[in-house]
Amino acid sequence: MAQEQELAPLALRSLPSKQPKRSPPLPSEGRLGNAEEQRQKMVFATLGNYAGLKAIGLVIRSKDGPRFVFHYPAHPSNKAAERELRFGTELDPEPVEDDDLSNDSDESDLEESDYSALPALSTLNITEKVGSQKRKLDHEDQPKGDDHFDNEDGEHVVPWEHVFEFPTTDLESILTPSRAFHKKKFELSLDPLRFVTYPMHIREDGTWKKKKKIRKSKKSKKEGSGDPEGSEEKSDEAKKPSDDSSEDGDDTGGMTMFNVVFILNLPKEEQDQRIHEIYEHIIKKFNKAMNHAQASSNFVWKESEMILTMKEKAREERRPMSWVWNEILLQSTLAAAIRDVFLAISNNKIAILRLATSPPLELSLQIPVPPYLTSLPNPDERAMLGLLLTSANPIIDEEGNEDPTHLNKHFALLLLDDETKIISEIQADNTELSAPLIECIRLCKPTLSFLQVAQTNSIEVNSLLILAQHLIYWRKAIAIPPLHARETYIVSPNCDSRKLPEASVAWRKAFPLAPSLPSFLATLSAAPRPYKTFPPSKDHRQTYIDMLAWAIRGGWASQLRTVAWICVWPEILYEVQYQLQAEALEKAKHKSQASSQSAESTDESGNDKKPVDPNAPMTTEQAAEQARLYRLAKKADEDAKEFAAEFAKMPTPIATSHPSNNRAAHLKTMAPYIIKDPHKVSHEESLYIAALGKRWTDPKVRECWFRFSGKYFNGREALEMIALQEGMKRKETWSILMHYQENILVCKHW
Amino acid sequence: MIQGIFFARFLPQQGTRVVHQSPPGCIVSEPGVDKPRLFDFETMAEYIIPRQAFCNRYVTICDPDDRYRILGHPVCIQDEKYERNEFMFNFCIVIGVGVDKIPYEAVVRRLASTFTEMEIQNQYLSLEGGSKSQDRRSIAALLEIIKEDLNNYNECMIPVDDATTINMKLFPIYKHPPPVKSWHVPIAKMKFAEIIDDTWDLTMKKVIKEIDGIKDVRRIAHDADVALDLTKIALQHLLYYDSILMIDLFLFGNIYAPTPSINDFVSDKDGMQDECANYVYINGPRLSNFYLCRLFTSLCTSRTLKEWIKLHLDQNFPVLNYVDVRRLIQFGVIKGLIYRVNKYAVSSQYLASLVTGQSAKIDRGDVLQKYIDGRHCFDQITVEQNMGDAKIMEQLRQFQKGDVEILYR
Repeated sequence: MAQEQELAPLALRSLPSKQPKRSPPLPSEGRLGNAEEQRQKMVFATLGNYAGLKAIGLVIRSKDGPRFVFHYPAHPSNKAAERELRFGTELDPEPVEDDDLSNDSDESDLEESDYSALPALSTLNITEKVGSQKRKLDHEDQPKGDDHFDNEDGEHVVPWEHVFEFPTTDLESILTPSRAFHKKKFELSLDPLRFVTYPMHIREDGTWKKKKKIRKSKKSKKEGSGDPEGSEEKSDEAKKPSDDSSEDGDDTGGMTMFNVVFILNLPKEEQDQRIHEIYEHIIKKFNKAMNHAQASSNFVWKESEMILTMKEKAREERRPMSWVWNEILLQSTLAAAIRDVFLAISNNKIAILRLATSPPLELSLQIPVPPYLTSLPNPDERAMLGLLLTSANPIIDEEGNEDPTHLNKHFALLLLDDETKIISEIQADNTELSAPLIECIRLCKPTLSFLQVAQTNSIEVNSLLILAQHLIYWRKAIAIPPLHARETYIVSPNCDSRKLPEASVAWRKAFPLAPSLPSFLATLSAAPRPYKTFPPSKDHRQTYIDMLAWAIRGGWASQLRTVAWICVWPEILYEVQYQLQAEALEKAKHKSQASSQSAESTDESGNDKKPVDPNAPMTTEQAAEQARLYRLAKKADEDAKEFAAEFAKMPTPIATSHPSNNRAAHLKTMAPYIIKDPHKVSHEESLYIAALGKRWTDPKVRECWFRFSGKYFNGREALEMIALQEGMKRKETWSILMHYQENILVCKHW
Repeated sequence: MIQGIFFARFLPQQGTRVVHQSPPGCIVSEPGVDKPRLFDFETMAEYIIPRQAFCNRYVTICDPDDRYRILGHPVCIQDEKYERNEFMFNFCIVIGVGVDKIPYEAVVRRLASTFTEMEIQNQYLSLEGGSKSQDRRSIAALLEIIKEDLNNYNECMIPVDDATTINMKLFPIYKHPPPVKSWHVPIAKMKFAEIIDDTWDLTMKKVIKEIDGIKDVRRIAHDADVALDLTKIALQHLLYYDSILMIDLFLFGNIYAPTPSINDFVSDKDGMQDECANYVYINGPRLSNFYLCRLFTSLCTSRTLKEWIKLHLDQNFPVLNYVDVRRLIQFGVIKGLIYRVNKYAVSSQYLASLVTGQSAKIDRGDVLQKYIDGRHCFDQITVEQNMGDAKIMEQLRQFQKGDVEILYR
């Protein structure tokens, strides 16, 4: 029961800020619990990042030997990680088979799962499917084993002395690895569970602190008796956490190591990657933080001692487990921290820890999630429904490389939640960054780029970017190309229509006078056109921009961006070809003249290694050489003549006003040519660009052609960004771009 | 690649010991071998033969340097005939940490189960080295063969004694395939006719015969005279082995739009353009690849293929004379250059009823009602209700005016 009661409020609080349709209390109370749960599931599924975390345990080795101090949740389930079983962008709720690959190995019968390939396939058959559905139901029963009882042998069975199917006395021994694993990855799998941790041992000098300190031995060291628990306590009552602070901070109780163990159950095919993520981002950092807290204020031991005492007392009083766990979570900051990490990580949130050590330790842990998708998941990949889909990447630097520290100043900040709500959250945090962050939130608008915000408020753009990055890290905001009424927006193919019912309610609440959400999305999706055509009047523009921001935040809509390549029509190709041949002819003429003049003095064929005395009588070799040269020259001359004749036959290029429509006979055989990347062009390609440039009569248009073509007509850069990046007016940019229309191949995508 | 294989036992006097290993000296030092050991066995011993509570299950552990993973299945047999009333052993395989461990799990489980059985039957392991075991293969030799054969041939077949043979094979495990939808169209990725033989499943053979890249799953089921769910299972098997792929139902009323990957096509990454040209220019003379780029880039979110063809016709480009449009679209979808824009119907009233939990019938709501929550594309309705697009639209018009919206996604 304990964690059930715990979960509900916490889960509510931990709804991701991504969720626009916050908590409109659903009218039907009867289904509330269920619906809430389903919504939770859907939300986290969209992020496609189930950690598969089943429990977190704290194990220490003190002078009484290894001790299993605490675990959360009280009654962990060991079924495999729940996953979104959707693929690609599919929505339909057709029952999908429970992928129980990983459950198969659970069977105690060895023969059963001998060749794992076979069980993998057996899930495909129907009977198995029914079976697995039944199994699913089994998991949903109430947590068992809350109370103590005596078994047939009259032994006192304590509910918390078993975690999963293992006795804690066994777990504590196997989970206290030797010093060889000190600050190393410890990864043990006891099928189907994986125990991953980063064990911390006491320093070689026998202290936890780096700095030497005199150890006072306060208590006489007693050897651990048969029942290790409580053997060293004078009396149970004396150990209330209230007087914990008055305890001598240096008594480490002979603790030589501790270990916060993360227990996971993951589907086989993604185990290694998931474990790597959670290990690097969470497990390592959490254990390191604990080590720091232990070193600075003996935190881990003090807390462990308190928890062990409480458990021992409760054991004697035969308290139900839910009660004990509630007490422990109330009194121990370490236990509460473990709970917070568990809840945050298994819900794919950021865990924030504040440990009451001296000085207080604060840290945040998260497995980073992508703020948006750049491509749709393949049909065989897990669905990431509801995540914003866009090719606009705000962290691309000038060279086109992804650099997380580099935030494009032409992007805008889109808050992922209600502004007042985020501000109050930040105010509650109350750090030295709070005031600037709030200022940043107040100034930034989704319609203004960072640069524009900085300029209008005369602040340093770099500091604004740092603040924005902070908000993005904390998943309070994302960076998007500034919203603008001239741009076009479409319904995202990755939007999660399963959320439509709840989202419609939230939409109605946020925009009571606007059309309903389905109707808004339907008009948006019917035909892509500039967004300014949607608001019924100019007065509605702001509301419509707010509506758009809402839709993008929820992953409903995405900007339709235009990319372009330079398209060279045969007319231009021919023109350049003609020009090149004319030049070649000219050169050949020059050359033949030059060579005939200098034939006597210098050897054109480059055979000047041998110094030749012009006055010496000719040897037979020289005579032969001369004859050869003569023949060559003659041949070249003939070729040149032929070439010239050929060239003379070529029709002179005529520049028409519409090269794409030039149907001249000599152009028939030529195919239009696309310049792939105008940033790195060949000689000919640069001539094409130049030839096109010559056609623009307007100097402004011509100047922009050369400025834009290299930078933007590469099929990656969106034309929508030109105005911002070049500091021009949108209208002006588009009217210039219209001149190029015929000579660029455009494509619109998200 | 198996780096090492060993047989460990718990000896009542000495604790956990490695009895046999291959290659020699890989786990514990052996006289005459001075190669470095893979890891320090003493550190790992407690996970090789763990406490009884952890026995008889698949257990793996990584060494402290995170270089090797030991896969084992510790077994504990309880019987009064043993000293301390129990016999504990483990056959372990050592592989690199980065190596896919999944195929080896079955091997480890098989070794454990076979030797458990043999131990129970005739104390094969506990009496090893005694006089009775003369006519058997030694465990050391067995380990050697298993390692060599699995490393070289991915399988092994070893007669252990007169009655027992160990057959093992490393099976790759693939990702679980996505569910098969009845409105999807399978396309073969290999020539089934060449690999199919008499031993194949009859249903599978019937289904495979109907796969032509055009028929949807429901149609295949119908034409093959196989139940729809069986057809789906058969196709899912093929999907699992990556021998078919699934795309959407092709109709000229469909809408497709480019994805950012279209840039890969225009810049001709991996010679994609020629590949596409070979596939689609089958109706007439082969044109320049430029036209393919133009065809793809002119697709857009609000243009049906019919309209798209018309558009090109207006620009003096009779697409159908040159290009097989179905193949062009298939190519684009498979390569991820374009995506299908699906059509969904959404009724605000129905959504509202979903929120309140009342399943009240909306007036005139008929067979289509369950489809109008924005989660069911028109393809699904078409296939399941046997209705064309026009008929669906007509039916939807019977709902309250202005209630049903059409969403293109």
